Amino acid sequence: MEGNIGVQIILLCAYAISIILAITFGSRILRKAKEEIDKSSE
Amino acid sequence: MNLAITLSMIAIYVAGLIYLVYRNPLPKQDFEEFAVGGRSFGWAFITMTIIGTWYAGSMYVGWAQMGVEQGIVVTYVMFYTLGGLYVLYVIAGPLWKLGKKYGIKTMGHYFELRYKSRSLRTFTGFVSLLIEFPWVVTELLAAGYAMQAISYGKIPFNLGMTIIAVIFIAYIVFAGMRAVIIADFYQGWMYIIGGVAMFLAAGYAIFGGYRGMFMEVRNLNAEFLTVPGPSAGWGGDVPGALFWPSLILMGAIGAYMWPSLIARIFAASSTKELKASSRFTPLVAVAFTLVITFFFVGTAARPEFKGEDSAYAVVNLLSTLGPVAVAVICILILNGSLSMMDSMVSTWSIVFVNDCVAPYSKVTSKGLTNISRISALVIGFGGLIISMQELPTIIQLVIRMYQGIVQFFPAVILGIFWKRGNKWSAWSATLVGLIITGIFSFTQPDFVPALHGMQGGLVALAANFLVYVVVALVTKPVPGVEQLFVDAKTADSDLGQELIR
Repeated sequence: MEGNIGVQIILLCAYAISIILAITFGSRILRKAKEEIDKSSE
Repeated sequence: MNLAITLSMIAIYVAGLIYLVYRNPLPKQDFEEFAVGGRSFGWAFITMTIIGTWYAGSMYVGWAQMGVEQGIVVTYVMFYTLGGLYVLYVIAGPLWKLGKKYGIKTMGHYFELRYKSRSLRTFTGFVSLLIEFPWVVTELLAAGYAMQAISYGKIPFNLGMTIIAVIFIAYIVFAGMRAVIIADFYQGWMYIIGGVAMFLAAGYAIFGGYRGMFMEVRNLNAEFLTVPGPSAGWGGDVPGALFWPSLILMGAIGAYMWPSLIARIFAASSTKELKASSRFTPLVAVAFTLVITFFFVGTAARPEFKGEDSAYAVVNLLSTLGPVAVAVICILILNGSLSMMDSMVSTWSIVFVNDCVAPYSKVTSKGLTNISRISALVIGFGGLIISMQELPTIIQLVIRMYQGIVQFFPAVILGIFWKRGNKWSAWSATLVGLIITGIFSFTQPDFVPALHGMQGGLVALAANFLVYVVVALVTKPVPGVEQLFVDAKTADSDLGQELIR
């Protein structure tokens, strides 16, 4: 791979962590919200 | 190999976005849900959506160019970001409470409630859309550039813009404001972690740290580390001592008058969540803005990366770090473009329907939602078609009309905190402000040389405030306004569903 390997490993990790955290937290919050909505509409 | 790396990274990014948005369909199909996400979002989502909407993709090009050409001046972004958040803190509580009680979704809608003028509501909706529209063109252009750069030229500019437009228009049509806020949440993480890591790591790898970076800038031209003032040098190009502070003041006052940003207030589940967001957002915003704007200034020390257009200097410099860096900076640009365009186009479709259609027709809630969807399609693809043309001068002139959005500030802020204001004061003040701004925009450069570099919009704003106060004092207050002030203070701040934290 061309360029600065060290920096690119750091960037790859940051990129992956961003996506994983966004999906994990986002899904959890939205799942709880859906449960609340379902509960309130029953 | 490089192309495979960059395309894989953008594909994973888009797949994650699509997964998060599309697995959370609308709980119900009414206009309240489509327009403000059912007023159900907590502080985490509100924080991320403010950050996502605030940081445009074009900043890595436009603001980067300002940093490279004018140095530390570009840090005005940080100061006006903080000022804007203070304005948000001041207006959010009363607006949210009135919004909850009276079903307000837009600034124009608030004006009708406060000033009892339906025509002012429609005028505000229409003019604010007109003023904000050029932004979508600049963002699509930034997205087209990023798609071209990430594919090493394999994806043509117009095709890149079209792909991005299809992605965000599809999720707006799917779930309106709910989809936009969920997408912004996803994009906010990329800013906070990917963006900060990108610029800190690049600062150390390229310059040996931010200290070394500033030393290089100082050695090249110490004036890059000063703001223009009465004795700050700047050769013969000094706009004047009031240029920099007026940029900050204009930005701070106008920040939350943009339709796409003020709409965020109404999506919160309670004032408690808005306050929680206002404690966290400034910290994130300052950290992120400082890291990136300082790097933009540092890029001035490497003039060899300016190439034919200094707007691309930062991307050119970061690209020397390798394909992963190319992918991350391009994803950051796309991240910014997507989060800003989705917020704008969805809000415009809602403002159009809420302020220009709903007051004059008896369409059902489902009907309004469908008209909003069609409006989003028309506005989004309309922007795309305009972006593909040789931009006429008129677009460049309209872009300068951003100073116009500030002219709604007196009617909002005085409307919230002063009972005397009425429709005559709001109408006359806003019109005077817009007309003076228009005159300055079409007769002066971006600043007024005769006023030491001050923005013409600020002069118009002073006249606007004056007219509002004078007209309010010589005419009668709006009947029943006292009740609104009671509601803005005492409406239950936790009436919201508090569903999505």
